Amino acid sequence: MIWINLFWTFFKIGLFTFGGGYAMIPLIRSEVTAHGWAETEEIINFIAVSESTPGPFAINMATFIGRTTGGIPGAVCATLGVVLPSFIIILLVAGAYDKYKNNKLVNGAMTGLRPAVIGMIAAALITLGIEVIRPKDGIGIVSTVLSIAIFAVMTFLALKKKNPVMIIILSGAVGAIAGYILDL
Amino acid sequence: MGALCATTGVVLPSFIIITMISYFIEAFKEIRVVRYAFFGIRAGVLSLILKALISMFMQSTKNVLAYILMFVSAAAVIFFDVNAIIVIVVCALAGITYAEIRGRGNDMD
Repeated sequence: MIWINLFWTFFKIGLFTFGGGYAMIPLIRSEVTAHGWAETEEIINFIAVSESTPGPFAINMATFIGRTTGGIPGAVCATLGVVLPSFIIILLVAGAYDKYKNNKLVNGAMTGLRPAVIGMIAAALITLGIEVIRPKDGIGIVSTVLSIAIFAVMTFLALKKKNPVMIIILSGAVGAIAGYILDL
Repeated sequence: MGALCATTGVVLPSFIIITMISYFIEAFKEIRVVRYAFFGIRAGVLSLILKALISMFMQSTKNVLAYILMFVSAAAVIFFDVNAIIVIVVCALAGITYAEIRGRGNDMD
């Protein structure tokens, strides 16, 4: 039953979403590819789409994967699944926020989770990076060199605090032009 | 009831936008220029992730435990394909244990 499966998978993802955004890429990627709902390449494409549209990455990803695998009902199930855990947790905690703010257990857990979030982002960078830079069938090393060049230039721009959407548009333009010139 | 409505209100706009975009992506993804553009975009996405990684690292508390947890959690996912849920739970427990030990140490002072 695809809809229940979507709901449950994204419920799990929602339950363990700490630090938001890129930190959840390894979890989302392993769940989504294990179910055969999308390839890593499509996930990377969608990170760019999500970055250019409103809403958090995990929720956008749920809507997108739900829609492409289970239609509109799939999108509803996956989105509900990813939102529900934080909805429940916030409801439970809201009344007692002050109590939990200085709770030793919560603070201790956060001490461990903050470095884990950084480790997850590093893992996302490496695993996705291998996928992007890996020589592709037929076009081989050319795509690798081109990807690294775009990555280097865009990293320079990103560190200069250029807008992420601008970086995405620019890398898309470079990819399109280079693609035609090199006939990839 | 208010919480339900508010949450729906926050989620609905992006839900509608992403649903619409998903149809466009499916329709256009095989077109040559779109394929080339996404080829470039994938490399650009890496730089956005790297930037996020650098700025989060700059803001993080830097002590031995933090470095160990960063390294171990990244290595576990990259090299051993450990489920991210397990990594998160283990790191949370490590943090709690660390706080507990440190707390006891302070009590003895």
